[in-house]
Amino acid sequence: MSDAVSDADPSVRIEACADDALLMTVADDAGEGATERVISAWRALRARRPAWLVKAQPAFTSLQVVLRGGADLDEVERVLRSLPLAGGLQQAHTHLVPVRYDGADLGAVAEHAGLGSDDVIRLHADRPYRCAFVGFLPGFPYLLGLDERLHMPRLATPRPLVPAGSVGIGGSQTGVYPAASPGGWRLLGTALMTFAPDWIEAGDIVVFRATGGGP
Amino acid sequence: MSEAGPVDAVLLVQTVTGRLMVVDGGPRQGDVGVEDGVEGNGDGCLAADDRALCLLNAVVGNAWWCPALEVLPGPWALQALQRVTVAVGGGEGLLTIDGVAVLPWTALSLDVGQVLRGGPCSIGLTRTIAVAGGVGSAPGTQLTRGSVMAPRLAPRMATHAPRMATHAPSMATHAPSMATHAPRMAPTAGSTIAIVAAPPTADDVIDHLQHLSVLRVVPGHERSRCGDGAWAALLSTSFAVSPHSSRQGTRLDATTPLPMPVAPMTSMLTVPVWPGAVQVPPSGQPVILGADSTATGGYPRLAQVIAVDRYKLAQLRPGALVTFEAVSLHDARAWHARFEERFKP
Repeated sequence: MSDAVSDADPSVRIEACADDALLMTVADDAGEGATERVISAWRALRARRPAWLVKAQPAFTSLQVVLRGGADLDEVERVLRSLPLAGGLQQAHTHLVPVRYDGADLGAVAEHAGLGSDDVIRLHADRPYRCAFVGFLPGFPYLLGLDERLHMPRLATPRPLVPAGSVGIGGSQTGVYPAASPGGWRLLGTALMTFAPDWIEAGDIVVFRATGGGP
Repeated sequence: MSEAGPVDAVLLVQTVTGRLMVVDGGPRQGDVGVEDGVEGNGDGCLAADDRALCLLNAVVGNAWWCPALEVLPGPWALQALQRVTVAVGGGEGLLTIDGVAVLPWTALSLDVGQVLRGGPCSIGLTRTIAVAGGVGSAPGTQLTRGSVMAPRLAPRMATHAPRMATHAPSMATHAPSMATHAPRMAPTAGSTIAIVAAPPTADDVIDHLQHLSVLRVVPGHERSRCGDGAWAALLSTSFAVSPHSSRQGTRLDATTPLPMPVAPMTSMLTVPVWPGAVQVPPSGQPVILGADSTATGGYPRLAQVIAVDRYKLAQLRPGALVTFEAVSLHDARAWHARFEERFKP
């Protein structure tokens, strides 16, 4: 296999991203369509469990496939190109997450958007967000569907410690920190629940619900 | 794991300076990161020195992926609560049983009450301690003074300690004549049988700490977007390992930051990443992702440290100078295949 092979289907590119990993890119831009293609391929590959597969990690438009040494790259490419690129979102679960909107950056996000804090909460809560993939930390979902008015760059200098349960905005995505971690996302509030590392899977839906309760 | 209870405990942590962690070989065929529901590799269990893990598990008769201990920087002391076979390798430093010096990379039998001590490394940084039968605590567990380690196997199953097991200084398992490269079979948890690699040769052991300062790389996925200038600078610059390095990433400092175009910094989507990726943030100072790195990242990857050199990241001391050497993807894949054929049967 060459280092970059994409002759068969121009919408699918398979390239080396390490000597023991390939990156299969199935879309140019992030979005619901790209997520369906990535998740469909990822689910099918997991179900198939070929002997050469060590690990598969989805992201917005691509799927990273880590290989055992000595894998037959022609066989790997044949399998990857045979994966379905539709139908993978049908098993999605919906997660309701109660949030107390008391985040340290709520005011800054409101100012950036030219809105009041209540408007930010109204635009963020009670809408479905699609989990494009889980990454950064185990159980950290990258959620698509954020209102464009709330898009905001990450902090120039990440905070050394973001508390577990923090709900934030990073660029055009929103998400929740399942565990305490350094982080550069703008913090809107605190989820009033705890998160196991496997609480969510790529393709699932998250709805944040504003609440004033909790600790 | 169900067999591992107090009755099975084999080792007691008497003292440890720094961090003593339970690590394993990470995802392997059949896992695919599914059973634990965690697709990230940020779950804190992957061995930083995966080469030492494989070699030492072979020495004590374990399957390559069996959980072991990783300690940094030490000193440390472990007391045997039962008769147990261990092997220590990775970085080089003092190693004793009840005060008598013993050799690394060999199978060492500890009798009840004996104390295995390791000093901080004089060469390298991280030491790996493999235990026959594996270590019972969950990978990612940090062990402190007083912690007790159980074997992963029931005692009746842990009967596959190498015949050469001894704590008398001996090169037995280093002798080339012993190294047939023929895998052996051994029982593992439950009733399944694991294949155990043949023990490493003297050359395998000597190679471990050779050429630590040269990291071989292939172009990273965003190498072309980073520009020829950054690639050329990467290959011609000596970098100092920053004291801010960790299991998540080895941070490098150069007198002159790598020249990077602005575009890749601001327009990249978050992508999956894998340990060994040489990311270049806006500072121009590279970060090499380590065993505990995040599963995804948004900085351009100028290069990728090849699979068989990734373990070196665990052995680079703060302040050490490193350089990068470009190799072909074909060669890197061949070396990786050869290593896995021998040590990950």
